[in-house]
Amino acid sequence: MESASDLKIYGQGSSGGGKFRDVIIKGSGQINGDLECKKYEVFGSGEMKGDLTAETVMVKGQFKFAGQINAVDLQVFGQSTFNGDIFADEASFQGNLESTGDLNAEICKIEGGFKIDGLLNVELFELTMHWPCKVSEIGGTNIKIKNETKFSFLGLKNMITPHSNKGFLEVDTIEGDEIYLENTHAKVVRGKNITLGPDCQIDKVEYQDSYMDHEKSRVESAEKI
Amino acid sequence: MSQELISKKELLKMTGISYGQLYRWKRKKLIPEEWFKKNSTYSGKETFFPKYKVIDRIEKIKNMKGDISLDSLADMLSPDLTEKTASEKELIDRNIVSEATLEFSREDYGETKEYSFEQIISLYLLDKMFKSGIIGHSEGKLVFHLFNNKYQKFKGKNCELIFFRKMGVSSCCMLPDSKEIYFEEGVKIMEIMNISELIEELKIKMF
Repeated sequence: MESASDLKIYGQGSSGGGKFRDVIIKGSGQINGDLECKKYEVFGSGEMKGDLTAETVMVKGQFKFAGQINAVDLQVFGQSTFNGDIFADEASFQGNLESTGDLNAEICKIEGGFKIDGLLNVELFELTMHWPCKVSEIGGTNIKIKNETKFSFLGLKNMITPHSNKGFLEVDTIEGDEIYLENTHAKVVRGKNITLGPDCQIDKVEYQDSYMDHEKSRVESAEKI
Repeated sequence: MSQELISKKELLKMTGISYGQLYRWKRKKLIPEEWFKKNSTYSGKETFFPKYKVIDRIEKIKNMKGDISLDSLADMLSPDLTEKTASEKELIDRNIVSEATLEFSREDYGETKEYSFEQIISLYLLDKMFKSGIIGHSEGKLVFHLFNNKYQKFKGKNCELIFFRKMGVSSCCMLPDSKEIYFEEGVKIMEIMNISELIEELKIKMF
């Protein structure tokens, strides 16, 4: 790693991949193969066709990842598309996230919305929802799904644009230890301690220790196991 | 090779672990992806596991996790080839490979000072099969060549090696772990070697 050089794309360009220290794309860039680096930064747009292994990944703008991602710290602002699995210690997304694979992270924070076809596997998950989200499965230790509450840029945008705040999370199964849900439509929710907030529609709740209902939520059946 | 399956719910109840732990271990690759099998049941889709393998693995993790970190545990349990190498003397001293098997491999590997981890696996595999008495000298060549030529194709994924005979003719094949395979009736399966289990054993012996 010590001898590796930097890769910089300013304007428009492409690279075949390889091993680098820092990779910076400002403008529009395309990486055609696997890439390994310390720091990966994108301002603008681009596409990565191979697997990416990096310590920190930061994307501001629009980016498409076709391969697998291994990162310690992953930060994405804007619109991102992933076609491979994501492995990160800490992942934070602001904006819209679309993934056809799995998202694995110790800490995952999403503000905005997402569509994930695979499994969302997280130790700690915090979602602040601004528009409809969809995922097939969520599994983890601490799962918190909230409709937007805090004041932010995306919140402000939603306030002044029409049909705002109709967002809900659509999910098949949620399994975890501590679960808090708002605006969630789920088939099955299983966990140790489950607390519901407003506007949930859940077919089946299975809990181990505690379960808190909410008057504005609809649950078909709740069962202690 | 059909195995008994256990549902996720039963598994958690039996082993006393929580969803959080199970998902954490999956994330750390302590429990291989291939063991999570989705089956449809009357109550929708549910996840099932190969019963004995997964219970064994969870007990192992529970016993060991106090002593070492989850990451190094993952290194030990994952079938990824480690950088570890060993000399002939080490292999014999640590009782990993017998002198006879080493002798046998010399025809292919020549005089080698340091064996790579992949070579060590192949030697260990062969040694085990020779010791069990199931295969003979010439059949060892079959296994040895298959493994050396094709193991890389699995890229660190779990796999199994099956050795079988029909009417006195022997052959072998390799396939991904936990996949179903069916033979016609005349075929007799002599031995199924699970490579990732071998690697686990090896790693414990070597570290």
